[in-house]
Amino acid sequence: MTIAFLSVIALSLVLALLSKRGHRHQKAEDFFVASGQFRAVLFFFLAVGETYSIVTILGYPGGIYANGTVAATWFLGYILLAFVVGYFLNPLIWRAGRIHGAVTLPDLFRRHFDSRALEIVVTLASLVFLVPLGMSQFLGLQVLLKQLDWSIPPLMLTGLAGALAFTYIAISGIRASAYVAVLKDILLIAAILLTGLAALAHWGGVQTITPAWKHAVQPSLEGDVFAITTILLQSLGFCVVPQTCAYVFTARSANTVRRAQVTMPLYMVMFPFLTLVAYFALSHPLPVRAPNEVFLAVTRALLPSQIVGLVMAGAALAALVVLTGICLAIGPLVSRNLVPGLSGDQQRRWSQVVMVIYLLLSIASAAQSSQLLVTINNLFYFGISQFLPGMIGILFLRKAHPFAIIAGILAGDAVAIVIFEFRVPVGGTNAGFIGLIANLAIVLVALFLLPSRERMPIFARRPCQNA
Amino acid sequence: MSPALRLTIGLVVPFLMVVPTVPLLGHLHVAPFGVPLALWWLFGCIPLASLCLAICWFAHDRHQPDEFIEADYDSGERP
Repeated sequence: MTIAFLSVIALSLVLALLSKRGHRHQKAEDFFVASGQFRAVLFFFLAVGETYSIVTILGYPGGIYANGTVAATWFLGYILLAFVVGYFLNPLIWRAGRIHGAVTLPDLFRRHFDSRALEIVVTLASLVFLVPLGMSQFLGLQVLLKQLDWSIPPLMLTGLAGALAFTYIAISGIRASAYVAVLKDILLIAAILLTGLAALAHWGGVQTITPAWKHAVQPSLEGDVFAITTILLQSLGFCVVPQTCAYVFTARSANTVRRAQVTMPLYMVMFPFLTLVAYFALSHPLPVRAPNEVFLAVTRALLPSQIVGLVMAGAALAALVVLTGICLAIGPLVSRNLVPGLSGDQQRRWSQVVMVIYLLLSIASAAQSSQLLVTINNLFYFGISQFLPGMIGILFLRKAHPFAIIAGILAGDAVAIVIFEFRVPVGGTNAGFIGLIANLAIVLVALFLLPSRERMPIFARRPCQNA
Repeated sequence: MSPALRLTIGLVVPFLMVVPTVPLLGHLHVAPFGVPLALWWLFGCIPLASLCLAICWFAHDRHQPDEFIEADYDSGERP
């Protein structure tokens, strides 16, 4: 198991080194967004690589195991619709990025609205809500690395994983991330299909499935309201996730984005197999100590040791690729948006310092927390989705006022956090969704009340066609 | 294909497949092979969503000129 695991990790490092070929002296924009040169295939692998993290492989079956299929329906529903929304919005976000020369999401806001205050608010909100996402990757890595049975302290193992993620970035930024994502995406889908098929082969009769159905949480009106509002919030919010924007900016053209978006839902073929794995664990006696360990427990019970090593390496790479994506989004947030005026080389250097600090913080917070991975995913979307009205302002509105967008983001975040923290009864409605409604109301009311300079929305700009 | 039809097939149909349909199916106590019908339906929506986007691509977007824009990463375009 260990040999297979380490071989894959070594191969990922070789791929990261290969990604540097022809790009030895990278400028800052090449390091962060590959100078917008990725074609459809590499763009697809990078997008898929940064969408399905270790939270998917461990958290999805863990969620079904702990709470039944209600969690599965909104989890699947939002990812599916996020690709659909992305088909229409991402080419426009790509166009906005090119017109404004954006490397980060706050770049777009500052350059479109000519507002430094808006840039700072978007940057700080991104930083605050990206922290739990990194923590969730290390939580997943903790669960995973424990299964390797190495006699190394867990904190040191996650520290090594953090160092590996940083090594990929240091080699060639987002290019290394994309190359490693190819290996990760292939390995992850193979691992899930293999484990799912093994579960099917070892099932031993249809009657044993019944306990799983009995275990599931029964549908309720409140559950439906939560599922619908979560699907709406997260599928729309997915487009304004800082690392989503970062990979959209890597695409060579608008049609590169569209072509990749068409095929992205097909990668979700993994979910029926992950469901199969969760149901297998529910209906068979397996040593499962915590819901997040379900997938690995089934893998270890059904597959030979060396294959288990490959599966675990695929899951570990899932966390590492997403971590590199988050780091590459966070680094320039500080070195480009929070501290303006640095040269390209300085941006790269300071970004790397920020990434190291971020990785260390995430490792430390993961060591203190044991929250269910899916809950952390929800918290992340509470905050990040509040950028949506501002993005609508950039893409479609002529007179959105930057101060209204700032007020909307702050109000949306405050409403979501208060409802979540104080458990305000809202009939099951997702707290972030209520925040988003408040946020949108502020931006729309200001359209009529606050005088604002007219700006040409991205949707109305005629694109250059100088291919 | 008209832009309105493109939006209907690419956006409205996938949303209708998921948002009202899945919770409604969740209330049916039908679970082929132990898996709730709502989840089976969502699994079916995976290729259907891709098909909807493929129709938009092949019937409309593929025939539009692609966009290639040179970016100025140092300053961008001032508003």
